[in-house]
Amino acid sequence: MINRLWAWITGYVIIKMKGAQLEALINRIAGHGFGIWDLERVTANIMIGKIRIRQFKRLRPLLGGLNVRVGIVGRAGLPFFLAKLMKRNGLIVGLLLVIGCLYYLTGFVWVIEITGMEKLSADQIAAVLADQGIKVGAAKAQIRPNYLENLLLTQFPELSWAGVSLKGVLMQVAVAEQASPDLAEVQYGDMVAADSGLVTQVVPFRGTALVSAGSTVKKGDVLISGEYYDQYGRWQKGSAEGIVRARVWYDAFGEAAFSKVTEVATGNYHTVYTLTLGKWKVRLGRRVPFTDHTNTVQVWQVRIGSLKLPIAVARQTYAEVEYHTVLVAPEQARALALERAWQQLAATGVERDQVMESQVDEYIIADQHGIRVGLIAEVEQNIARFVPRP
Amino acid sequence: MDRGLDKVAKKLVKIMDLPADAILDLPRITMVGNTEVSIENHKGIEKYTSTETVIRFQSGQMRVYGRRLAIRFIDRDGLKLEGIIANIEFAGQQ
Repeated sequence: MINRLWAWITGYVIIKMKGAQLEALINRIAGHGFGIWDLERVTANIMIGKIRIRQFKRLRPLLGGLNVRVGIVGRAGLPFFLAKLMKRNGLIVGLLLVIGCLYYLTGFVWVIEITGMEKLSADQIAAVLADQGIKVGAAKAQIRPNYLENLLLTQFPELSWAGVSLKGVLMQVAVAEQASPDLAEVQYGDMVAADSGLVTQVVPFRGTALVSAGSTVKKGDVLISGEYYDQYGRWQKGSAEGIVRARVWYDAFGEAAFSKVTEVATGNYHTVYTLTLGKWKVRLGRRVPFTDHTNTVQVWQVRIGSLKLPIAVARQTYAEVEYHTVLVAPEQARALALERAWQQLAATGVERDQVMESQVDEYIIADQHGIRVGLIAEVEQNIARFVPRP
Repeated sequence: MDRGLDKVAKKLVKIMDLPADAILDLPRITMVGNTEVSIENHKGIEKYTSTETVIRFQSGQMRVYGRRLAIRFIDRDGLKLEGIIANIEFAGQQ
């Protein structure tokens, strides 16, 4: 296919070969690296085929010794087509005129396509463009897409984006309106530090960053201001957004005593029964003879089927106990105090696996016979919180 | 190719699984249905009519019988024959 196309571009001739040794001639042509195609045997001593012009010119030496005559019966390809064309001056002038006209006319905008509006109308946008001289038939050279995009954004505050592009004679204007909420309802405010700390990373999504990595901030400081220049260079008041990570230190303490009171049962029991008849109660048994005791109660309610009768018997068993003070090992007390400090920290919202570093200080409380543990935990977290401005 | 050398080459092609068309100078023939046959590594045509075409190889020849046979293209490396092919015969040592 490519060969045929190239042959057409370079030009080829249709040749007639007449003689007795036609196969020998074909073999000589092929053997010299010349290609011959669409070879047909018309009669016993005539063959017709196609060969490139350049190769035809080098055919004569191959005929030596063969009783074959070769002649041209047709010419085809671009060189012959052009040669024929060049003789028709009127056609060439007409062709050049058409090309020139087409080229000139493509320098203008013939179609303006406006898309993407929801509340706005295409006429409103077209009117703004027309004020700048941009309408059907306007020269493309006078159209500056960037200028028109900025113009549309400043003329229509409800637009969040505008794009102007030229594709041939088509001018495409695409706009996007701010979805929601309306401009008036947009909360205006800043990202403010929720905790004091040392800033490690600032990623502002919207707004102007007022701190940078390494800054020390106090709780309540403005980190990202809600006032900023947008991508079109307009001064905006909006809701700041972003992430400000900082190292924040939390402290907590826990206490534990070096001794504890434990309850030990002596093995002595005393049982008292109470009979209940409606509102009346009758206690059966002696008074409890123990100073310190624990008490368990078991009640039997008399019932017929699912009906409860107002008769019940309760058995109260009193077990005598004694209280002993037991010493707690200092390590055990320290661990308990530290655990209580961690629990206090967890109550403020700091999880143990968030903590990057921690510091533990111990204080012996001599008069209370105990230990106090102070815990300082370092956490890296996002401290930016949105605070609306009035 | 010398006969002794030819035998060695044939054995070598068999043992080492080499392409026979490249080493032994054999033709590579491709047929598309019964309407087209392409031959690489030919040594010219012996006879060409619309019913019979004889193509020469290094060792032997191939006869193509059919109707409306026409050489679509021929050069030093290849040949493409089109038409209604009825029969193909090989002659000479292969």
